[in-house]
Order: sequence, then structure tokens, then C-alpha cells
Amino acid sequence: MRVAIFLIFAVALFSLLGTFPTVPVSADTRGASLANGLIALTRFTGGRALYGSPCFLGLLGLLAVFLVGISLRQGSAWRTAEDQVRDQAPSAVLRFGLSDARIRGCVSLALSELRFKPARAGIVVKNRFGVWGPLGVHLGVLVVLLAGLMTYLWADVREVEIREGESLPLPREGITMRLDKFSILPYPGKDQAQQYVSRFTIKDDKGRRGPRELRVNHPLLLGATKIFQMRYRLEVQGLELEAFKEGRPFSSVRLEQGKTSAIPSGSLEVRFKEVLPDFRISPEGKVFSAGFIFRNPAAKILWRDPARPEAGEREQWAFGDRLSGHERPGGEWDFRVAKIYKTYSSGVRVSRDPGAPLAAAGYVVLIFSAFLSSFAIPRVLSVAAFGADGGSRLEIRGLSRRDPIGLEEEIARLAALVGKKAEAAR
Amino acid sequence: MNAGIFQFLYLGTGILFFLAFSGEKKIVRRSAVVLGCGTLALHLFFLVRRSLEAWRPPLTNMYETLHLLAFLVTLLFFLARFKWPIDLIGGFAGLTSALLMASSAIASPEIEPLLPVLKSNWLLFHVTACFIAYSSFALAAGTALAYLWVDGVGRRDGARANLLKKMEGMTHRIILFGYPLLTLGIATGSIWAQLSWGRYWNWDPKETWAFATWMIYTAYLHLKYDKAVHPRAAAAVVVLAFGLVLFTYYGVNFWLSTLHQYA
Repeated sequence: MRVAIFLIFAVALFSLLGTFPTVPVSADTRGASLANGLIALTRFTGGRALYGSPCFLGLLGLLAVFLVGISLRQGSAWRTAEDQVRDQAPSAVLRFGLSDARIRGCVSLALSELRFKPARAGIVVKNRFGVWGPLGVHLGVLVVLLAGLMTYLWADVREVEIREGESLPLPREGITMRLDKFSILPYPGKDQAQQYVSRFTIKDDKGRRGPRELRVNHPLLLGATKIFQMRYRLEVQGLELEAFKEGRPFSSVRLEQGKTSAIPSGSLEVRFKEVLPDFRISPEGKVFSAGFIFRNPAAKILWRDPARPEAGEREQWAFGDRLSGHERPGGEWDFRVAKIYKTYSSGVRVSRDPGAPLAAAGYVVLIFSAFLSSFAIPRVLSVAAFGADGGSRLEIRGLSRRDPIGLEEEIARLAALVGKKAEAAR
Repeated sequence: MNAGIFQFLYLGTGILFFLAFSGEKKIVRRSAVVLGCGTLALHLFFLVRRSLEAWRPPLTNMYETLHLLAFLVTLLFFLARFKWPIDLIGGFAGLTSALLMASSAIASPEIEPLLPVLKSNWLLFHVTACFIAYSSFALAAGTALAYLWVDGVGRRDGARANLLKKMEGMTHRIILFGYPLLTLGIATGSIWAQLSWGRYWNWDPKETWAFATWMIYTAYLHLKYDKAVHPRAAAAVVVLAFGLVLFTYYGVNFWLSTLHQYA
């Protein structure tokens, strides 16, 4: 038992080590050789690497071996308890003036009131099914560990980013999935997302096509592969910019990310620096982002007049309408964002994990067994009445390794109840 | 209705229970019970009102869970009081709830819409189970501390031995109550993680600390099998384990990088 407790503590404390960030060990640090020796021995350099280190895996393996051993022993634990209860020292010895036959009657009534059932001659039990609780907990943990091993050895889990219009082949399933559109569904009137949706067209080897939707918490099951919605990325590829000169429409130009374009008549060189999906203007005139959903986009435009190189490159915000721009001090040139060309990439996790169903089964066993183990604690009592000194003597022995204090309370309750019944029978 | 009011009321309840334990005066004990029950009723009203406003149970951020935990700790004490009427434990329960309310000052009380990842039926099972477990462990830590305190001071007589035995039994039973709920919380969290993140176990710091906490309580239950282990050592393990609960719930979010940052 003590070794098991030590092992439990070791696994708990060891696993916590991995939650702390990696600390690099430099050669000139005091004790560096010891640290490096440990690293060489355990192949653990700190952080999450711990969970794949042979040392930690070995510890989990040892835990699994213990679980197997304990599970095998627990199968016969109940029978042992029934055998051993008569060897215990009496927990209560009561004397009555009634005959032993009448006391046996009182005991029988009291035991049935306390929901004890006869097992063998002179031995009564309660919550016998509770013996499966600890066994189930041990087996449940063992199954989850086994599932973890299967995941470690055979799971294929990848993070993939798919751009709108791109396809992701799943050769094992004979399927290709094409991302048609990625959408962020906001809460009505708010800037918070209530769901992220990737709309796919699934095409199989036989050329059959069908639409499927992927949402957070609602994975797509394609054969044995599961697809999970994880994250997204927005890429602004370019924008359509209208230029106004002295308040009059002058020309329009398509700007591309990272490139400088010329206004068609050659009067200006323009590029954009950043795009805000939903802008606001502070009372001080500062433009800032108010959300991530494209409602009122704004673009920071950098422009330069080649005819006047001494003026340098100038910076100006352009909005979806010119009114916002006019509220700010402007000059000869003024701009409007007519259209934004953007593409979303959907970050998905592609998982083929044979351990997952086994882990779920292990958890179910674990949950039920944990409740059973806590709320149905088996008790074994040996109750014997003998004739003595013109009356009778009652000896109660009990055994409950899991809850000795509860057993004592139960025996005290039984003794009190028998006393009460004997009093009534007198 | 702000957290300060509840902090004050729980603190008052705790102080009255401490006084009732030290003075054995009926009027003080009754006042503590009345104040405690009144505080619970008021807090329940607050939680229900917030749930109706948000149209979801109060389980989705630090502010709400601190309120829930403070409420559950005192509620569980009053439920346990039917079997173990030990005023000293009421003092610890009231004090714990007051401290939890005090720490809610750093959390935002705003009702924010749910993040997409939290929009799942598993939320109710996972968070509720975890918080009932946490509250029972808080109470168990209170009884363990009370055990260590009573064990360390005072005269060694029959009454004290009886009280110690009661507190030892209470600690064990409360942990037996919380343990399957923590198991349920961790297991449903893992199943939910599989649905949401595509992995049932990520070794995320929150998961890892919850796992370590579960292991320490498992160790405690094994310690109780060993008759040679002194109850004092078992009580010390309960206090240590509650330290882990606190770090899992509170510390991980602040000091470690976790997928559970919203919690």
C-alpha cells in the first residue's frame, strides 16, 4: 500500500513539473553538470517535453502495472473480508437479561431495519455491490492509460490551415474537402463571435459531392477521421481605392498587399499599410479598431506625389465614405475605400485517434465506479448471541477497511437499536 | 448587490460560529445559523437573478465561479451540519466564503456573451461537478485544519478525543463526497476537450493540475486504508491537496499559460 501511495504522489508531482516553463541550463551554471546528467538520463529538458520523456512514461507504466495487480487482488477482497470478520476483536459486547433466542430475534429486526442482509451463518452484509467501486476505479484508470498509450503510438493528429477556395485531401478516407467559405457569426448587435463556421464541399473518390458545415464543438466525422474547428486567420489581399482631388472624383486603383500602385494618370504613388475591419474615431481624432467583424472598414493609406519629392510620403486614413475623411483636416487629395479583397483561412485539426473511444469508455467506467466507491461502502458484520449467566451476551464484530469510523458509527447504531428492541421485548 | 455585502455577511457568519464554538452560548449559535441561512438565501437570489439576466448558469467566468464557490462552501457546511454539528467548521466555512468573495474584486462582474468554445452542454456537467467538488474540498480542508488545531492545543480529555474522531470522520466523508464529483468533472472535461479541441488530453496546465489534485485525493483515500498512518498526517495531506485545488482554480490562470484562460 505504501509503495502505491508513494507512486501516486510521484506521478502527481512529476506531472506538475511539466507545467512550468523550460529553464535552459548553461554550462557555467553551478550544478550544470548534474542538471545536464539528469537531462541526458531522462531526456527531459523541461516544459511539456516531460510528458514524452522515458522517465515519465515509465512512471505511468509502473502505475499501470500496479493497477493490474491491485485489480486482480480486489476481485477476491470481498470473500477475504467475509472470512476475516470473525477474527476481528469485538467492536461491541452487550449483555441482556433476555434469552439468546429472543435476542437473536431483536438482532434480526434491527439488522433488517439498518438494511443488512444475511450472507453466511452469523455474518451480515450491507452495500455488497459497492465492492465493485474501487475495482472499477482502478480498471477505469487502467483503460484510460491504455487509451493514452494507443493515442501515443498510433494517433495521427495534425493542425492544418485551409484558405477559402483551397482543398484538403484526406487520402485515407478517399475524400477531398474544399473550403468554400469561412464565416464569423457575431452575437446580434455585439462584436463578440458566437460561432465560427467553415463551409466545405466534400468530394469522394467516386466524384460525389456534398456540402458540410464545421463549427466549434461540432466536429465533422469523415470515415475514421474527425475534423475540428480550431482557429482562423484573415488575410487582406488588397483593396479598391477611389481618389478625389480637391473634392472631385479623380480616379480609382486596386492596391495589393505590400505593393505600391500608381493612380492611373500617374499623379500619385499609393500603398496601404493596415486595414481595420470596424473603425471608430476618438474625440481627439485618433482612428482605432472597435472589432474584428467587417462592418466599417478603414485603411491607412501612404501616398507620395512624384512631382513633389520634397514633400515625402504622407499617411492618411481612408474610410468607406468620404464624410468621415472630411471631418478630419484634409488637403488636396482625399480617398475612399470602395472594396476590400480579403480571404479567410480556417485552422482545423485533423484527427485520427484510435485511443479516443477507448478513453471515453474508460471515463464512463471511472465515473460510475467513483460514485459507487464513495456512496456504497460495503460493510461486513459478524453478530453472535450466546446464553450467559441466566441472560445472553451479544458480540458484534465488523470489518470495513475503507471507512472504519463509519463502521464504528454503524455498530453503535445497531447496538442502540438492539438495546431498544430488547427493552421493548422485556 | 455587490460582492462586498456577501463578503461582510459570510465573515459575520464565520465569526459568530467561531464565537459559538468558543463560548458554547445558544444565542450566538442561533444567530450564526440565522445569519448564515439568510446570507445563503440572499446569495441564491443573486445567483438566480444573474442566471436569468445572462440566460445561462453562472459558470462561465472567474467572477461567477467565485460567487458560486463561496455559496456552495457555506451551503455544504449547513448540509453537513445535520450530521456533524461542529461550530468550529462553520467558522472556517464562513471565513473561506468571505475570502472567496474578497478575491472576486479582481474579476470583472460584466455579463459577457459566451465564447464559441463554451457553447456546449458539457459546460454544465463539467463546471458544476468541479465546483461542487472544490467546495467540498474547501470544507474538508476546514475540518482538517480544525482537526490539526484542536489536536495541537487544549487538554487531552474524552470530549476532545470525541471531537477529533468526529472531525476525522467528517473530513473523510466530505472527501468521499467530493472525489467522485471531481472525477466526473475531469472526465467530462476530457470528453468535452475531445469534441472541442480534438484531443481528450492536452497536458494543458489546468488539466495537469486538476489531474495532480485528483491524484493527491486518491493518495489520501489510500492513506485512510493504512491503519498505521496517523490521522494528523492524513489531515495534513487534505490541507496540501486543497492548496492544489486553489492553484488549479485560481493560480493556473494567472501564472501559467492555459487553454482555460477564460475560466
